[in-house]
Amino acid sequence: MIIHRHDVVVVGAGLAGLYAALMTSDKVDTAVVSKVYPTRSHSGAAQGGCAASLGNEVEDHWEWHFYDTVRGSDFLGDQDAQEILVKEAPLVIYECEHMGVPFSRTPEGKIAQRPFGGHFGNFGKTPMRRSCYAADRTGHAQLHTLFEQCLKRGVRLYNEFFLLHLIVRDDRCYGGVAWDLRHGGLHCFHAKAVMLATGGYARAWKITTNSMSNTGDGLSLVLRAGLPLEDMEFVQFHPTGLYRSGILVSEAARGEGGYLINGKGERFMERYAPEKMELAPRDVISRSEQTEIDEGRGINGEAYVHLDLRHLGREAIMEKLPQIHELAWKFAGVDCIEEPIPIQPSAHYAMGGIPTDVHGQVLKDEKKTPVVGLYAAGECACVSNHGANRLGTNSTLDCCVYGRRSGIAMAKFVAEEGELLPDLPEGAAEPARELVTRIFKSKGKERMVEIREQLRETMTENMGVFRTEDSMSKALRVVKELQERYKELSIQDKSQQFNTEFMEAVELGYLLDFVEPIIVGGLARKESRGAHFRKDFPQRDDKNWLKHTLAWKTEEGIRLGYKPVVITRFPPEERKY
Amino acid sequence: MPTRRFKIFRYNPHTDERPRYQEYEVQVPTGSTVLDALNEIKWTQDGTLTYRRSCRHGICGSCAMTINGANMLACEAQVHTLKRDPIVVEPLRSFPVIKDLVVDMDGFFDKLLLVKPYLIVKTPPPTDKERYQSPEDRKLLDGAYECILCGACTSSCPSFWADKEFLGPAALLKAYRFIFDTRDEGVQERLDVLDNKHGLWRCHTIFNCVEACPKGLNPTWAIGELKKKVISEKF
Amino acid sequence: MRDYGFGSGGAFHWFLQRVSGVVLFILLLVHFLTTHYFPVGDITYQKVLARLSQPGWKLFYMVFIALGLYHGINGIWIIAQDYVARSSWRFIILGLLMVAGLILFMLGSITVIPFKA
Repeated sequence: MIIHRHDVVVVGAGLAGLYAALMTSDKVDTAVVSKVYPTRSHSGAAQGGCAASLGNEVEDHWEWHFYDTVRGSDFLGDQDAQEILVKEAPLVIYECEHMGVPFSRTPEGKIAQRPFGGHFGNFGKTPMRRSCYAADRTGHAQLHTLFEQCLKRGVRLYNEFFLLHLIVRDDRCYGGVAWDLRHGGLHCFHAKAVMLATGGYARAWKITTNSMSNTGDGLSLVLRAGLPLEDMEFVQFHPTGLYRSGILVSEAARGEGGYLINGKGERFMERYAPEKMELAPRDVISRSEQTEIDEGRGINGEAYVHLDLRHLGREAIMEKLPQIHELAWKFAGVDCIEEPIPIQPSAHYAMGGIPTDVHGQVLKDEKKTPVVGLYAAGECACVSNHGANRLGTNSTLDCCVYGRRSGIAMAKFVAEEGELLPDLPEGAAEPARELVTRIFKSKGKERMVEIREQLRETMTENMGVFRTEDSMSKALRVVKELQERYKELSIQDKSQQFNTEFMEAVELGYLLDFVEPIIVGGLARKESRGAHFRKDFPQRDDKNWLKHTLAWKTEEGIRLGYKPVVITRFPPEERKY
Repeated sequence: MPTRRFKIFRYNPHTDERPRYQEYEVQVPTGSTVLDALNEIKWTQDGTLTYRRSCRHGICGSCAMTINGANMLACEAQVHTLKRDPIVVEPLRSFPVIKDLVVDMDGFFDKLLLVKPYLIVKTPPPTDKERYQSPEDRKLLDGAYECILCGACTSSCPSFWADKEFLGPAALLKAYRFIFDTRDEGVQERLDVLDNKHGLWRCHTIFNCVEACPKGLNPTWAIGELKKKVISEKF
Repeated sequence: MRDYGFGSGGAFHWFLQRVSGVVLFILLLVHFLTTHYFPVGDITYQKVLARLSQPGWKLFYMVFIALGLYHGINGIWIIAQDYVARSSWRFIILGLLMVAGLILFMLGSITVIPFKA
């Protein structure tokens, strides 16, 4: 087995991973390991923008952004982390601009800003232009710019290397073992600091906005290493996924003034968020849509509603939402200048993830004991910035701010560590070797597609916008059964070179692992908060549940623990839009 | 449910003596894309079929391939618009095949690196705010920054087929994106790279890249602008 | 990067191809008009002979021949570059084109220059 030694190894080449690599690469030897070419990362699919209180268009203050983020998170976010997020937002936006991100501009030449759901001025009063954007391709523009900067600085990129195992012993991370997709074969990455920036997990749902690569790899690797995941039950459903495919239609469409219309032709948000209407946060809108659909007011009684942009006019659509126009045409056959777009709630974002501190260092328990040399940022991490519900445009921001912070922290850690790379523990790569052998050698009868599709259907049906004790118990039963069936999985492609069937088989294993804490955490949390809405417990319960869930995978199943929420400035209040 | 026949290029250079074509029949519900059909084949008929894919909505650039002779993204190619039967699916031509529809893109990315695809700045930017850029200046980047680096253009270019050292439309479009960025100060360094037998002047205005681009961009036009820029500085 | 073909770069030839195109258009127009449309009276060998005996017209046709050959041969070379990948073949084709150009130019010269009334 080939062993690569680097000071820092970043796993994942989206916004968080590349930002961190930029922060470490001029100081210490840095490598980025990614299962796709960096520009294929899902960050590139982010459309609407990146929030920062620049105040370029109207007066804005970080305190206002802070309040919106706290309230958006339904008071489950840690306010120390959220304060850093919003305070450093202008800094990273300026840094992005300086690196070359082609932001859209105001007439004076400043970075243009647009309104977005959940972002308001003056502590929740008026819609706020806070989202810095590059038309509706902001993530694409940011991702490509960071990739270009990595090329410039000569960051070592291991493209199409797929992480199979994380080497963690006695609260210290030594690296990981990855599969070289192109040639086949295991490579060990031995490092002083490892950062997970592996992104989201929404591929576990049938209707999702996510890339096919978003299989929560980092999350399951952390679980398997005996470390916990935090707040996994909080899954964001984006209100505007294209009907059937789930492909993302940016919230920018509503930010720019789009309407949501039900089968009776009503702007139904009047009933649910009379003040903020379509600019209410995503959890609120997704629930409203689902209620309309469940009560038979979908379009022609079907499971979708309409997003109507026609009144914005051709010029505004082509100037500010060109990609929406393109996507609606290519994937729904709808010209949104002439017709409304059919949309439905679509699994979108993981609020929970790998618990970290505000420097990106991974934490192993309720007492916040750090794991030495292991970092995480971006969607796979949970600092927690987003609590129970993330605001639109806060995710690319999270990637930039916390990717950057993790990078700085890793560079500092490596400098303090000194020259010596700690020896790899005995048999460090064995689990990866076993995994590879098991999948290649298996003669089991089970086929991948059946297990995976059943999982995704179950998750959409039972772990969707609305949940109940029954639905979640059912989901857990199905997942347990699928986990058993997975052991009998075999693949047809036995070749070493570019074996995507092998990759999909490993990814399916990841999917089956991380969904369990989502369900178990959701079953335990007997309240409704943010994106976790239980019909049998429709109220928020601050007395019992204003706390973070931690979930460990053990022989006996998922073990839960809890830790308090950090509240520094805004005490919980009723959340109304 | 309607079905369609697909004739797909299969080749693993490590195990196969020569490439072959394999036919599959697939159910294609309304709205199916070629990527949906490939997934259907891989998941229900033949797990060994290999291709790249990720976002499935035309932004990641993974699934560029040659479909009925034309380069496009499999995820955007609606099956019902493809008239020829069977639908022939092949890897992007003129890139080395790794396996089936997967090609080696390293050379493509190396070319990109040659044109210095990053903002080159000599005057330090202001520390606590953005550099200003007028909306008109920003507009110059439209039609260039949207490139997803899928490789469909470069692989469709006859000049690239004949000259593997040619930078190709994608790298040249990237050069355009920076040379015409008013914030950039590396124009001359980049023009020096482009003003070369295997650079700008290898483009013979064939326009295949324009037809191939899934994002509707026009690299030929951008290359023309770059040629004019070099000439106006030289003569 | 390794180079083959006309020297290095390519900017000059790209530019000259366009300039020669424009100039050829003008020269061609003059040639057609003087020869076929506006000859004084019917066109006769003597009249052509008389015109071509003048040094100015000799220069006109020498430029015409030179630019025409350059433009045509460069055009073929550009097309050849898109179809021929091997540098040995390219070298041969370029050589043949240059030799052909030279022969044609000489043929033109020995026709135009010695003209006497």
